[in-house]
Amino acid sequence: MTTHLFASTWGEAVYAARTADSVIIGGGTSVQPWLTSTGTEPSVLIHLRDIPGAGTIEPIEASEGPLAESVTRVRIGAMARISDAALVPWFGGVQPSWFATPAVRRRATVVGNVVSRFGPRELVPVLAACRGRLLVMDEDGLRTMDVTTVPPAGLADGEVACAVELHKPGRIAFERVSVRPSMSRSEIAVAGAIGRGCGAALSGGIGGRSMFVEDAESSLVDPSGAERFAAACRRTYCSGTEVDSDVVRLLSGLAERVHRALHASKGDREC
Amino acid sequence: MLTRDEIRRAETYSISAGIESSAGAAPPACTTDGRSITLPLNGTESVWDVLDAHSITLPLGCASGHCGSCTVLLGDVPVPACIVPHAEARGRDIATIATASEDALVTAMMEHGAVQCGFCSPGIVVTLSWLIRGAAAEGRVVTVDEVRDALTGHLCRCTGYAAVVSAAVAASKGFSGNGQGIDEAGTTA
Repeated sequence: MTTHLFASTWGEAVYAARTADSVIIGGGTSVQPWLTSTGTEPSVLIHLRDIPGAGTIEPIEASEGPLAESVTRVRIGAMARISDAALVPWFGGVQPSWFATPAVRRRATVVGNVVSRFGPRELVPVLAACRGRLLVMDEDGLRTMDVTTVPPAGLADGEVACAVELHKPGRIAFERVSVRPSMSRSEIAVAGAIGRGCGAALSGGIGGRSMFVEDAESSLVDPSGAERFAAACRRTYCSGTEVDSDVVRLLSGLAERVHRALHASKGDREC
Repeated sequence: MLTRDEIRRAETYSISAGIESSAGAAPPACTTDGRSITLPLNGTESVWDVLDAHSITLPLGCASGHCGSCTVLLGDVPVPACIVPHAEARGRDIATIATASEDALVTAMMEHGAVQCGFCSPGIVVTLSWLIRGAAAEGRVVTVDEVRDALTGHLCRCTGYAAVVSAAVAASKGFSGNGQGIDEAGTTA
């Protein structure tokens, strides 16, 4: 029989997460359908909603924490919802309307999507372009990991994702290939961000791992660097194990669109 | 949020603290359409399952949050009941179409032919009533774009959406002062 634990501290959550088949619930929008459709009965469902401050989005002060570099960084708590207005600058000045539905966005959490083992991590390319780092707590304390390196099966037993830390971009653009503009998974996606600590990331398949694009910063900043940026995206994708020539072609196109959007005169890309 | 004290607490946390935090409490409950409902202490049921067990039956389409037919207000926010674990409703207020709908919208939907089989209608009415009330609280009328965005995640396979959109805008005009100064798109002049 599945029991429910409403953790009141991160320590409680970490301790309960040591149970082998425990499942952590942030928004629960992926977990509940999984429970319903599979009949799985974890021994404990760990709810994070009562942990003080878990839903906050706050700037990181320069003196706080080993990751802090400047006040242009922000920390997104584990219970911060995708629809939170404070995150709009990270999605190009609008809500991520390509992600699920408005009702799901009001409930699903950013951190939950980063560590989800139930579906595509649609937000990760955008977060990775802002050099997103996941804060993970276990019984040994706190550590960080790149948002692109979370294992497909999610975090290990005893690990709890507490927050994501990001750089705030001056400009950001995101382009993707999908069947429909919304309520449709990203098949290929490219995100680029200009600003201190920012860069670019891509995803080359439904449910595929997001990859940080190495050496993209200079081409992103250069108004005439579209082709160099596209080449950097191609190199990154082709460094993976499986390469699809159609994906390479589409990635190039998306990269050029991202670059164009970042340098468009329209103000709507300003953060 | 994540303080050094919290980190230290994680390192020194003992097993008794976690178990005691969830034991010995009163049976969990929520309020649904004004009446108290006891929630299960354990189990993996969704809010939809629990409401159904209490004879509050909502349409259930996809069971994955995509079709919107089972949408309720949870803490005054629309959400498909099928994607919410029952424990998340503890201490919260749930409103189904029975108490979350605006009569003006229901009337407008009938007048605009925005209902056919009706399977999706309860969820649509809950969401659009919430949207209309929110716009009215700001002293304005909902826009066509707002309505269309709100309908993302409400699947209708017989009526389509045009009639629903026009009904929502019409209802909102009535709700917010008879539509004076409001253009055809539902935007204020």
